[in-house]
Amino acid sequence: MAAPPSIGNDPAVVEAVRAVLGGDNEAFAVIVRQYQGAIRTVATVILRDPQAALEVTEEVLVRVWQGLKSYDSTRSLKAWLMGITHRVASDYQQQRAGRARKERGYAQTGVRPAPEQPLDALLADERSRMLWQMVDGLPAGERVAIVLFYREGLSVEQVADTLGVSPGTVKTSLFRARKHLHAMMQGPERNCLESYV
Amino acid sequence: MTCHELQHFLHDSLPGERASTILVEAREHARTCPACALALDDLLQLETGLTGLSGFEAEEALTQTVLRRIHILGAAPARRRVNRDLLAGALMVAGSLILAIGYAWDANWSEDLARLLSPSLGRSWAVLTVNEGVLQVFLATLVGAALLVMGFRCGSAEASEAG
Repeated sequence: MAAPPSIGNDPAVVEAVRAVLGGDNEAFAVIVRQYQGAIRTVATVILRDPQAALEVTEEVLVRVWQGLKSYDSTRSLKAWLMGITHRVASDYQQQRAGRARKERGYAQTGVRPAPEQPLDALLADERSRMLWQMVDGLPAGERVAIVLFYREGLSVEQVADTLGVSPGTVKTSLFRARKHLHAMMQGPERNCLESYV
Repeated sequence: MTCHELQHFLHDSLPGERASTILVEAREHARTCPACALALDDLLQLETGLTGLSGFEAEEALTQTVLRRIHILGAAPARRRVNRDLLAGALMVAGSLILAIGYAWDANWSEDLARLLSPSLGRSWAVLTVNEGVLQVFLATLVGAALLVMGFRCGSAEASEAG
């Protein structure tokens, strides 16, 4: 049975949070090393642009440091970080959409918005390739929900908090996403997926 | 468990919500029904795959970039505090001076100064400065008090930020 991993805060991270709040900025490196991969992965899933996701990851981590005083230590740090990631990435996406509209207005100048890229940067692991490609084909809401729930191991309630929707909406997204993925599995990808496990 | 119940289980349950006993029942049913066995395997295989999806690894370069940025940001508030201290002090000194000068202002002195600047302006000014410089006192109180309040608020903001 595939179950999301535990989301309890790592003791080393808890200690690092205490140290940073006590004024030791070097201790923030522990938090950065622990969570930058997850932040960057989720940002890439939202933005579908690895370079933009890298910029967003850096911005998220800086904001985490700035807002660490407001973090409630009784809650999952990862869920809190994912919430910030979703906000920053969504803002970035809106700004990018605004820029793209502006650039379309100046189409005569030959300026073009950067094309969206698929999740190529996440496909380093050959075994994940087919599954990532299928996830990439999901609608944005389902794509983010399924990655937060399954890959990042957040609970339905935490995903709901992160996305600013109700738990019922998250469940609907997850069921739909699973149904879509299941339908895709019936296609030519099936053999590849069977070799996954 | 029936085929219908198993289908319901497959579509409407999530990891973490499933009782282990129900999963055992589902597996038992799947042994007797190839179609359900395939559907159950598909779901579990998909969920295992999703849980184990690859992602980005930590990069030291990014860690160092973030640390550099927070060092810069960490130093900035200290500079802002010094600037605010200076501003608060300057505003309060200016406010106090204006209040002191305003109250000490002599009506004749202002009249002489006004006449010196402009005879016509001086006549209007003279009218305004009757009753021992009420206008000057009023204006000095207004401006001086405003500067003192601004200085106080600036200093308070600095103190709460530092805290």
